[in-house]
Amino acid sequence: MLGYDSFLASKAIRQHPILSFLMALAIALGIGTFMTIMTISYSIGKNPLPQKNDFLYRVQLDAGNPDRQSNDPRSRPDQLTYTDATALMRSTAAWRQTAMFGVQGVVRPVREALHPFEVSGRAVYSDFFEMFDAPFKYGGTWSTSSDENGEQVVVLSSSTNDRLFGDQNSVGEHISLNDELYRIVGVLDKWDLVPRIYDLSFSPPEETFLPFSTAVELEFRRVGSTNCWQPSPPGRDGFLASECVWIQFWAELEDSSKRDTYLSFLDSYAMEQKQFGRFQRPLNNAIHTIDEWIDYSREEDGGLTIFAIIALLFFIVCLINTVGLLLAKFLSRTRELAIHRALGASRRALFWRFLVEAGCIGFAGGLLGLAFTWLGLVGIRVLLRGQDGALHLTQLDPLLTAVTILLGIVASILTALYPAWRGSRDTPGVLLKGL
Amino acid sequence: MFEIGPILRSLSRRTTIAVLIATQGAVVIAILLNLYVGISWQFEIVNQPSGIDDENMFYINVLIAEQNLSVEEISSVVDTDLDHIRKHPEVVNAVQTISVPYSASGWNYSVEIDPSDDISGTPSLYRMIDEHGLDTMGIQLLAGRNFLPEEVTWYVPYGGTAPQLVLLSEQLAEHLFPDIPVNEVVGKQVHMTNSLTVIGVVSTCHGPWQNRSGINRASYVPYKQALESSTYLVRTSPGSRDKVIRELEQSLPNIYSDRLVREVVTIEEALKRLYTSAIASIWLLGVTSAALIFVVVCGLTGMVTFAIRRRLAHIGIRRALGATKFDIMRNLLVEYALVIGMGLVLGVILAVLLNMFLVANLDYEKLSFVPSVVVVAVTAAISLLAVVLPASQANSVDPAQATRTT
Amino acid sequence: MLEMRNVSKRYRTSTVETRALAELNLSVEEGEFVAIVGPSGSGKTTFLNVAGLLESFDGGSYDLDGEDVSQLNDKQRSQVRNQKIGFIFQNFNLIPDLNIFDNVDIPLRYQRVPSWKRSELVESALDTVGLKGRMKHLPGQLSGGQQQRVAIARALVGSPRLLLADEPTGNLDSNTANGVFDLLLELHNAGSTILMVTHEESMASHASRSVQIRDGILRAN
Repeated sequence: MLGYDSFLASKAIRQHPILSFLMALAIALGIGTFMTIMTISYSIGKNPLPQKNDFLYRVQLDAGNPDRQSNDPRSRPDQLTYTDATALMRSTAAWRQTAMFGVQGVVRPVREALHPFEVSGRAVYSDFFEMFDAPFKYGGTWSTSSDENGEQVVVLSSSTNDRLFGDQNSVGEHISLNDELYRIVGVLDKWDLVPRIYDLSFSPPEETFLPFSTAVELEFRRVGSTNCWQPSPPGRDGFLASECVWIQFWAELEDSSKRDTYLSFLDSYAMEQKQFGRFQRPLNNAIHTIDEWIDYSREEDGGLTIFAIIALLFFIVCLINTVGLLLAKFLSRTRELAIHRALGASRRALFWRFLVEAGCIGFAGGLLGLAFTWLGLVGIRVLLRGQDGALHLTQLDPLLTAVTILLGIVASILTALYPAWRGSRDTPGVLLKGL
Repeated sequence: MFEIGPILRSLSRRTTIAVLIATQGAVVIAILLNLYVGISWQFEIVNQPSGIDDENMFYINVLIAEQNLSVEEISSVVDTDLDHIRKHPEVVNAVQTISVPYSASGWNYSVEIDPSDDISGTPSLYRMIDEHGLDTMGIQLLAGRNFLPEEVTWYVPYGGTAPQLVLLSEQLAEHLFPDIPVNEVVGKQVHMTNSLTVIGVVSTCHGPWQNRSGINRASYVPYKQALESSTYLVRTSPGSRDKVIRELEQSLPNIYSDRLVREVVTIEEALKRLYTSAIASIWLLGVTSAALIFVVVCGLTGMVTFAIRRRLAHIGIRRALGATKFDIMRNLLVEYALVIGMGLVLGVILAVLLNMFLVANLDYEKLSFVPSVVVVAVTAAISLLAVVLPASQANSVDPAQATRTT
Repeated sequence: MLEMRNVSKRYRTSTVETRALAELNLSVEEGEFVAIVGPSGSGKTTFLNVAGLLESFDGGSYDLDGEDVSQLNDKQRSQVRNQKIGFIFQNFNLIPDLNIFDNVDIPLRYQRVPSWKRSELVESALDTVGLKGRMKHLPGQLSGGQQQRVAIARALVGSPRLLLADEPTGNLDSNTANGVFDLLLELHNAGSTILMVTHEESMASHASRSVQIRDGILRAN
C-alpha cells in the first residue's frame, strides 16, 4: 500500500506545487534557524575529552573577599592563589593533579640567523599530559624531580618542533627560551583539543609547556586574568603570597566515587586555613567534571540561551504553520477523499496516506533545512572571521546532519497527525450527496 | 455594517484554522518584539561613541626580547621610542598606555571614596598615561588640570612608586560624587590601593571591552611603564595613518634592535574585531526576523487559499445573490482581521511574559513602548496583505461555476 | 442478494431532527435491475448511501450477499464497499488529477491485486465501455458521456456483486444519456445486479422492477 500512497502523495504534492514548496520551505526555515543555533550551542558545550569526564575535576576554592559575604556559588573565584595551588600540589589527595597558568616567551633560534619569535606557553606539572590525553610524538613528560627543582626542561608542540627542527626528533636538544637554555624532553603530536578544556579557550593548545615552578622562578610573562580583592604586597614574593587568584587547578581522581572524599579534603584544607585568618567566608568550595565546568562557565553567557529560546519559538511557529497548512490542504480535498472512501479506502488507509504525504514534504523540508543550516553556519563563519574557534563552532558533523533530516520528518509527521485525523474523519456519504 | 455577528458565528464553526492562525500570530509577535529589543540593544553596543578620533589612530605593541635589562635600560628605550614617534612629522601625538580603546585587553581597578566603609568600590577602567595622554586620545579636560611632566613616574613589575594624583572620567566622577558638580570633584580624595587626589575630570573615552554598564568609568594615573612589553597609542594627521604605520614598523626596531613588533592595529580594526560577535548577532537576529515574517506570510496565504477553496460554493452563492466583489473581499478581510487581531493581542501578552522571563533570568533588555507598537502595526499590515492575495483570487471565480462544483 | 428490513435513518443537528428513511424494507435478487424512483428530497440518495455502506443507519437490519453488514466497523465496511459494491454517481466523481487508467485502477489497489493483473483488468473494463484507447487521458479531456463510461468501468473493474447507480444520466444530454443507459442494460443482460436511483419514470420503465420512494418510505409499483 505504501507504494500506492506514495504515488497518490506525489500527485497531491504536484497538484499544488507552489503551496507544497512553501510548506517545505517553512519547515526548512524553521529547521535551518533552529539547527544553526543548536549546532553552535552544541559545539560550544561539546566536551573534547568525554573519556575523561568521570575522572578530571576543576577545583575552585573560595578564598574571596571576606567583606563581601555571600553563599552565591558565582561569588567564588574560578582560579586559585599561589599559596593554595602549591599547598594542594603538595598533598596526595588526588591521583594526579596540576596547577597551571598561561605564559608567553621569546624563542631565539640557535640555528641560522632566524629572528627571535614569541611563543605561547603553559606552566604545568608533569602529570598534565596524561591528565589531558596529550599525544607525544617523541619523548614524554618531565620527571617529578624536575617539578620540584624547577629544572629548565620543555615539551614542544609539533608545530614548534617543525619550525625549529624541521620535524626531526629533537628530544635532548636545547632551545633558548627567554634567554635561558631549556632541554627538550618531549615533542607532542598534532593535538586537537577544541575548546582547550583546561582554560576553555578556543585557541589551539600552547606551543611550549614547562614546569610550573620554573615559570614562577624565572618570572615568565603571564597570560590570563589576575583578580585581587586586596592590593598585592610589593615585589614578586609579595605577589606570590598575596590573595590574588591567577592559577587554574585540575585534579584527576581514580573514579567518580572519590569525588566526595576529595571535596571534603578541600573543605578540611579551607577549615585549616581559617585558623591562619584566611578563607573568612562560609565554606563554598567546589569541584566540577569537564561537562559541569563547561556548563558552569557558559552559564553567564546568556546570549546563546536567548538565541536558543528564540530559535525554539521560531521552530514552534513553523510547526503551527505546518499544522494549519496541512489541515487546510487536507480539508480542501474532501471530495477526492470521499471518492476513495466510496471505492473502498478505509479511514485508516486515508490517515496513513496523509501521513505519507506529510512525511514526503517533511523529508524535503529536512533536506532543504539541512541546506539552510549549512548556509547559516557558513554565514556565521564569515561573520566571525578571525575569531578563535569560528571554524570549530560552525561544523556540521554527521550526527547533526542526521538529526536535522530526522527533525524534518518527525516534525512533519507529528504536525500531520491532527490534520490527517480530521481529514480522514469526514463521512463520505455526506460529501457525495447531491453532487 | 461589517457583519461581525455572522462572521463570528461562522468562525466559531470553523475554529481550528482560526485558532492556529491566531496562535501563530501570537508566538510571532512574542518573538518579533523581543527580537527587536535584542537587535536595537546590539546596535546600541556597536554604536557607542568612542570619544576618540577613530580614523586616525592606531596602536603598536613592541616586546623587548632581551630578558635581563634593568628598569633604567627599559625606561630609556621607552623614552627614546616616544621621542622618536612624537617627532614624526605626521604624528599629532602619542602616548604609552594600557587599556587601549577596543583592544580587548586592559586593567580594572576598584575605586572608592572611603575604604573603611562597607560599600563596595566602583569597578573602573585603569589607564596609565603621561602628560601627552589626553591630547593623544583627544580627551577634553572638563575641570581641573592635566598631569605635569614631572608628576609622571615609572611603573615597574610588581608595582613601583604609587601615584598620588588621578584624573577621573566624567562618568566615574558623577558616579562617585553624584551630588556635586564636576568642577568641585577636583581636589577630592579617592582610594584605590592608596589615596589619590583628583586633579581633573575628563571627557568620555571608550574602554577596551564591549561592556554595557559603566563602560566609560575610567581613572587615569601619571605612569609610564618600564616593562618589556610596551603599547604606544598614536594619533596621526588625517589620511597619513597607514604611512606612519609602515614607517614606524621599520624604524622602531632600529632604536633597540633586539625586539619584536607584536601587533599593529588601527582603532578601526580593533573596533571591528571587538564587535564581531555583536555584528554577527545583529545579522542572526535580523535574518531570523525576516525568515519569521516570510514563514508567516506563506502560512497565512496558504491557509487562506485552502480555506477559500473550501468555501468557493458559498462565495459563488453570495455573488449570485448580488454581493459585489468588494463585499466578498471586505467580508474575508474583516474575518481574518478579527482572527489576526486576537492573535496580536495574545501575542503582546505573550511577548511581555517572555520579556519578563528574559529580563529576570538572562539580563535581557526591557521592551519599549513605541517600537513595540510599530512592530505590532507592521506585522498586522503584512498579515492582512497576506490575506488580500488569496482573497482576490477567490473573487475572480465565476459565480455560476462556483455554485456548480464544490 | 440484498435484504433490508425495517431500516430507518434520522439526521440530527443540534436543533432539528429529520427523518430520512422510515421502516424501509427492500429485497433484491441476484441479477435483478431495480429502479428506485422518486422526486428530489424523497430520500433517494440517503437510501443509496445506506445501501452502499457510505452512511450508517439507526434501526433495522441489512444483509448483503448473505452477510449482516449492520454491525461492521469502518475497515470492514470499506472492504465490503471495495469488493462487493460498484458506485456510479450522477456527477461521475472521477479524480481530476488521475488519468483514466489510474481512476479505474483505484478499487483494485484497495483489493491489493498484483500489478500485472491490475493492468489486465483495467484494460478489459475500459474495453467493455469502449474507451481502451483513452487510458492516458485525464478526465477533463473527455466528454460527459465518456466520463460516465469511465466511472462505469471503475464500478465494474473489481467484479462487484452489486452496482449502485445514483442518477447515472442526470448530468448528460439525452443522446448521451441513452448510450450510457444502454450500457447499463447490457451489463444487466450479462448478469449484473443493479440498483439504480432516478427521478425519471422513463428510465425506470426499462428496469426489471421499479420501486417508488416518497418521504423516506418505499412502495412497490
